[in-house]
Amino acid sequence: MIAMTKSDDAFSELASDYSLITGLSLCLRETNRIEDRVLRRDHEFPSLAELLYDNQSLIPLMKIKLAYHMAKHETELSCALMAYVHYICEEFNESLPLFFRCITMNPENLDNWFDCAFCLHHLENEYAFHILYNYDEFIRLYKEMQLSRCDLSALHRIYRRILEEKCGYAEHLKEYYQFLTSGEGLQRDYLTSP
Amino acid sequence: MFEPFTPRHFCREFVELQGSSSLAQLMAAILGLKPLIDVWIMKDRLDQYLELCRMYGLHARIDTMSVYFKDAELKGEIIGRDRINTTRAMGIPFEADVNGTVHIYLSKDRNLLRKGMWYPLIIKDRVISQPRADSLRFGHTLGYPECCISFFKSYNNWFRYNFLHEVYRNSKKTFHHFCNPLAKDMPYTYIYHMPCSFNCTATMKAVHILRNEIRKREPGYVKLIDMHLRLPYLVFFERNIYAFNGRLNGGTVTYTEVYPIDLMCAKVDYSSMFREGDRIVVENDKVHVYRGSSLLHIIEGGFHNKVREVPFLISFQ
Repeated sequence: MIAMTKSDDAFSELASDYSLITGLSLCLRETNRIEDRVLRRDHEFPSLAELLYDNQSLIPLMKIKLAYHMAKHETELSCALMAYVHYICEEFNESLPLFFRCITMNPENLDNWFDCAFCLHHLENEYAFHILYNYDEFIRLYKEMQLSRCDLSALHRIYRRILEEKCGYAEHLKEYYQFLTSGEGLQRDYLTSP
Repeated sequence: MFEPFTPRHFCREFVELQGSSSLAQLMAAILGLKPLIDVWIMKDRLDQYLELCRMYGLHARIDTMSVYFKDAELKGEIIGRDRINTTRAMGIPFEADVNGTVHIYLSKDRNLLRKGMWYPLIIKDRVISQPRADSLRFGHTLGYPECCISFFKSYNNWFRYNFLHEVYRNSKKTFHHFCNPLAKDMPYTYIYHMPCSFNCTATMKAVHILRNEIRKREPGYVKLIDMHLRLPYLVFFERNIYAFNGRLNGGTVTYTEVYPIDLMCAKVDYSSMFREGDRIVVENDKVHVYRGSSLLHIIEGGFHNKVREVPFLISFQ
């Protein structure tokens, strides 16, 4: 379940700096797999938002330290943290490529897709809605299409494929509505997984 | 009382199309007194609505579309269901052939539209909520006073607090009707945020400006708002509120009419009990309903999650 930092040393160093600046303890980044049926595995984004909302003077130091750690050893965690700091500062153009990198590193992590989608939402980019309505298909097709990296063109290709396969949320609204109102009707694997 | 309202001129077209709830908020946005607002419009009226926005100098951003459920209608096993307090809505892609409710952001400033926040929606079998970072700054985006944002951040936790009772406790003894948020989904209100107290200075200052501007254009509307906001109210919990046509004196309201203002979170509708009576007294967190000198009913507040409803009577000067 625990997805990887490549090196324990890199994580320890990052966690130590993070704790020094924020007073929060940093956890290893876990992958929120769709079949786990969990809302969110990452807890750093909300707690960092709370902290930085009240302590904006910490932001410059956070950025410097995170940039240092990313330059030394970029991981999904360090990348996500930097993306969160930019997001909290409403620097969505800066956080978007970082969220893309997180997806590239770990496309199975639903948290990465949602974070990216909300960033796109602020940028008034229509792919925000495509991801939020079709998150499971984006994860499936990203893997199936063996895309090497996530970016806007990758999102475009995936969405085109969703339309071709007619597997999008819009095409199956009745099925989902029936599921919500009767508790039955969905046959998707992740819904029936133990 | 609490009838729909149609202005003589200012914003009349909006009301004819969409009704008058949240009217003062719309006026505030058009007057440039609120930086950003959001409204919900049925899809089949959207084009006309957007045309009106253009006419009144508002920029619009279409956000999500949804259909709503009552709690009991939701039978599917939904991940994160406990996260949705009041609004149970299924997200619907805008291009779908469904006449859903469209959420749109409006502002005089085009650049502010991108600060609009995603509201929690059920998509497939999951509640998808906005990041905490968005919730935290949303009050600023909507132009709410700093003190109210801070109070809201501390006490808007339905698992721990009866929020309106906390506001009541944080208020001085005289309550100003400019700070009455109890009928905020009706046409007769000036504010759409939860104030930090029922005599919050920052709220009063903002309302004073808005009220003067509305009065210049629709003086009759201001009179009606003032009258509705000064009624006695009985509050059990947020979204479990009654208003009375009557007078509050000490802990007693004598009344001729009762109006269920917002019962979205009420487990029981007590309107018929109140209609049997002509006087209510709140004592020891219980509501006693009398007709003349006969005690008809004793109502005790229920629970929301583990938070007790603490009924209180209030009227605003």
